[in-house]
Amino acid sequence: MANSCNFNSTAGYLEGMTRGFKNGLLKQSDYLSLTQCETLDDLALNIQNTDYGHVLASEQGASVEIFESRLRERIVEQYNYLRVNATEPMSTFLDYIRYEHMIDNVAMLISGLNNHRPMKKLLSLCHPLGYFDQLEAIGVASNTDELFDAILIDTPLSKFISKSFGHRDFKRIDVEIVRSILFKSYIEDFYKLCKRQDPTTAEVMCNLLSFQADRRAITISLNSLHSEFNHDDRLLLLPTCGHLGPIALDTLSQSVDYDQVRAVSSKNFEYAVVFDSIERDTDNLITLEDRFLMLEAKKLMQSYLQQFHLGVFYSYLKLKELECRNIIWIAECISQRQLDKINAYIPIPMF
Amino acid sequence: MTADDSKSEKNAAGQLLDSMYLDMFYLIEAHTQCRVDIERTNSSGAILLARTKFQQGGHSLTTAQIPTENSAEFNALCRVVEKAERVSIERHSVDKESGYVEPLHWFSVLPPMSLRTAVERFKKSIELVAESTNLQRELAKILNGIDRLRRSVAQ
Repeated sequence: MANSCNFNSTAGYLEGMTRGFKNGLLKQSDYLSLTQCETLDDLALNIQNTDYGHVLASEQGASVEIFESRLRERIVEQYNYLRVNATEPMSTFLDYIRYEHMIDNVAMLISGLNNHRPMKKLLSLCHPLGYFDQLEAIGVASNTDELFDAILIDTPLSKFISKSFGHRDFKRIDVEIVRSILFKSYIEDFYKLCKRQDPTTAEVMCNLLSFQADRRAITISLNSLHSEFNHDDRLLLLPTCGHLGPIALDTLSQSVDYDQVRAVSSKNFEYAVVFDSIERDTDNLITLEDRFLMLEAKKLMQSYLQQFHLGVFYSYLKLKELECRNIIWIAECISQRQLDKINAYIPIPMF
Repeated sequence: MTADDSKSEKNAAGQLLDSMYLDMFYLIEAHTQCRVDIERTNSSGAILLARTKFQQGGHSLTTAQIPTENSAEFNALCRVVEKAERVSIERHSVDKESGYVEPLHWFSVLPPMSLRTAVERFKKSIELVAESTNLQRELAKILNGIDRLRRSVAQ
């Protein structure tokens, strides 16, 4: 009771706003009208009838990239509104949500700079939620030592870098591995932060983050099956804050085929259902990843069944991103004239 | 040459022409089917790339990851080789030391299933292009042959 009063005094208004935003997520009827569009201009016209409104009104010709950029801008607008009006501990919590995008942006920039691409072009590819002041300065660094010592050390990501590995290792490791290790460090830190919050936030968020960690562990184990990674390399990438314990993670890191990964993961009932319900289609379009996305959508919506916790903000931003991906998928199918695959988006259950 | 000889030569030429026309139609059918398969495998690969972006997020597949002319040099894993007037694809195994890099690793050293499937589709597409080229060459030969035979029959 005390928690609810205290929560309402600092974040009650923003929780109400977020629940309002959540009610604006696309419903099944909206998706039905979007999937019946035959051109991107049709799609833009139909999106006007949703909460997005006139996102493309000023554009001459619609393209998938323009859709992506405009939809992301809407997420950023809503995020910035919440962040500007937030007080502690919510402000730190919202900052943590951005760190994931910062890690993606840094990894993408390093990859692009290694290929000598111009900084201006690379910045346009960055996710706007992951912008930070020192992002442009990454291009100034002439080597990885400078990148670490001069630039990243002053960013919010520095705590994840220094915990994970020294800057000498940075140079030798592939960008994808750097991203995975940073993400592991980030999610474990976020988990610890949520555990220190009020009991409802801790319960909801730790459940969601544990799922993310397990999903990451399972997909990394599967994707590294036919690679040169050994047991130690794989274990380094697997987050430890999930429901899968240390023995399960150790077994996953030593798996040599799909069946072994499945056997370990199926010890958890939820993941067993994910593995069991995979339908094989001729194009391998619907994979395990999609099943995990469906489970994630369900868990995120379930967080709204409880009140007075910070999880509603995290869930809303994740659901909004999933909705954007759904719209981009529909736009891609229309653009590539593959309308038979247009219904392969992830429906968001509405409770 | 007697009239009978001339008639039997014309008959033989006519039969040869028939058989060449039949070959031509078979080749046209095979060539068209090959082009349809190329289109289908390319589209399948493209939609799988879009699916990878959908599953992993927009950062997973960007132009930033593709090498430019200023990037480190590398050797192509796949070469087109011509032997006895036939085009074929020669594949080299991955060997980082010698510059034979796996293009899939430009995007991820932990590629998801959809990306690996897209790679298989595009590899298949290259083989189909080689097959289509060979069919096209055979078709051109047959058409030339038909043209020469018709002229000699007409003379």
